[in-house]
Amino acid sequence: MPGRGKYVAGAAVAAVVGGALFWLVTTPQPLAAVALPQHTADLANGERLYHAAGCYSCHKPAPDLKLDDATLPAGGAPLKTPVGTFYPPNLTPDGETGIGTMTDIAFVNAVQRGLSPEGEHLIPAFPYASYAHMKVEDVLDIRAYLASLKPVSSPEMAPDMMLEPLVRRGVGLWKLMALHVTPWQADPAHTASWNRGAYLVNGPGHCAECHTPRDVFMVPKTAQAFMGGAHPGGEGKVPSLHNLVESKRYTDQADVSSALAFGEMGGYKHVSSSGMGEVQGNISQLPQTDIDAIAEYLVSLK
Amino acid sequence: MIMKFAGPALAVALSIGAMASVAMAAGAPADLVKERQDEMKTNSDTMKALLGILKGDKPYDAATVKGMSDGIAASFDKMWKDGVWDTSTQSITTENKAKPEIWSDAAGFEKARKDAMDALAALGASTDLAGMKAALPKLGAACKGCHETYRQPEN
Ligand code: HEC
Ligand code: HEC
Ligand code: HEC
Repeated sequence: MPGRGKYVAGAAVAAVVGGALFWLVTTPQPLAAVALPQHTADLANGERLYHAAGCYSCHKPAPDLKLDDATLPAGGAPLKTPVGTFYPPNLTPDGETGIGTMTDIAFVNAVQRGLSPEGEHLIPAFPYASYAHMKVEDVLDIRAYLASLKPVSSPEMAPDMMLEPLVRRGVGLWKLMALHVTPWQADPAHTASWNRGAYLVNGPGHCAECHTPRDVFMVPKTAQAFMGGAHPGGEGKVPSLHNLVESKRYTDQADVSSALAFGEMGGYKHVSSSGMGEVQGNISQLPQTDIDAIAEYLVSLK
Repeated sequence: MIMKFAGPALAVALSIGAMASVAMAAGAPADLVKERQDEMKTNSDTMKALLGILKGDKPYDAATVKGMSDGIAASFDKMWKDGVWDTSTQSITTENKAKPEIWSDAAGFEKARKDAMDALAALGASTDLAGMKAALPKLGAACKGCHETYRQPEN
């Protein structure tokens, strides 16, 4: 059966070429340390951005850690996703189990490029494709703020997922389509506060992670930004953020701002289920000017 | 003689009453879902009014605040007494945002109810604006705490 032999050989060559190509295009592309700017850390700004970015929501302590201070991002609490359950790691400066010994460049590569200190792809349940749009100075300030926290021991736990090494490598393909590393650009046609809101929503706030629908490759459909859709966590739907006022859900910009600041406490009913409650809790810790800026940007989405 | 029959008669009357309310508790699933959603909506309007007082849009008055928190507490008592979380309501598939965890984790759901009742009692017991400022966020957290686990967004 020479025909079949040829076919097998062809398939083998295709597999080798395909495998090599897969290996090539999925190779991690870290930033070099020289890419970091000279920067004097601003702890207060770091704390503000830490809340805007919602790091705690995912890196909160595992329930069985029983910490004196449960507000520390000690990690280990389960985060269920469609690809498996993660236990996001300890972000306190503990040398053994936390990020005490992580260099600034390794931190920036994790948060803005989705790479572990060992150079492997991180799973995009960690919203680094949004954080990639942050100002690197803001990321360094978060790093400095985290370094100022009390170190606690909370050992790293491996995720429960199938075919982990292959999936990690495959994330390299996903990054080709979904990781855009351009920093956020201000739009001079809008006010400074609108631009601040746009930055907070598209960068640290990672609002698109849930509010923008995704295609079959889990790549956000940018043409339908913030139009809502299936919840990425697989539970119900996420509402659209367009026409919040026109749809009569909110009376005006101040009403949207009040919903983000107060949530349930102000009788607002669409800002608590399926992860939004955590987001609202984080936003409520921002200065009023930032909350108003987010609202100004949101009500401009038509 | 009359007294001799009054006791049993009363007991019979009471037990008929009790049976009637048990029967009511198993009302039509669609009505139960409507009832809980209407009650929840009314309560969120009350929360809006409470926030208005906190923000100074309306003048603070201890009796008004107590009346509002008692009103929400009464609404919760009514919902639970009427059995709005009856398992039969799971058959309603439109606009029903109750998650199955309400039944699979009944103890957690009961704790979420109790947290809200405790927060309402604390708000009702506050006597000045500072006390209200401390109590209202805890009530908001109790509403949110239950919704985060037991209510799903639009489906
Ligand atoms: C939506 C959930 C989520 C949010 C929000 C989040 N993380 Fe994570 N983070 C994760 C997950 C999940 C992982 C592990 C990913 C993996 O195993 O591939 C992770 C991993 C990391 C790592 C890599 C650690 C290592 O050793 O590999 C760092 C550093 C980190 N996160 C920092 C942050 C910071 C800083 C923020 C806020 C700016 C943040 N995270 C916000 C989910 C999240
Ligand atoms: C973890 C997923 C997730 C993230 C991240 C997220 N949201 Fe949401 N958001 C939701 C869900 C789910 C709802 C519906 C909640 C409900 O009905 O209780 C929602 C609701 C809302 C609403 C109310 C919409 C309405 O129709 O009333 C606003 C406003 C909103 N989100 C803004 C934001 C902003 C701003 C950010 C970023 C800072 C953000 N969201 C990030 C999941 C998310
Ligand atoms: C013990 C759990 C629990 C507590 C506490 C709770 N809720 Fe709810 N709430 C629910 C559930 C479950 C639903 C979904 C009901 C449904 O869709 O049938 C809901 C729905 C709602 C809705 C939407 C109703 C609609 O139109 O469909 C509002 C508004 C609301 N709750 C407000 C509040 C407020 C305000 C508080 C605090 C005072 C509160 N809830 C406390 C469980 C709770």
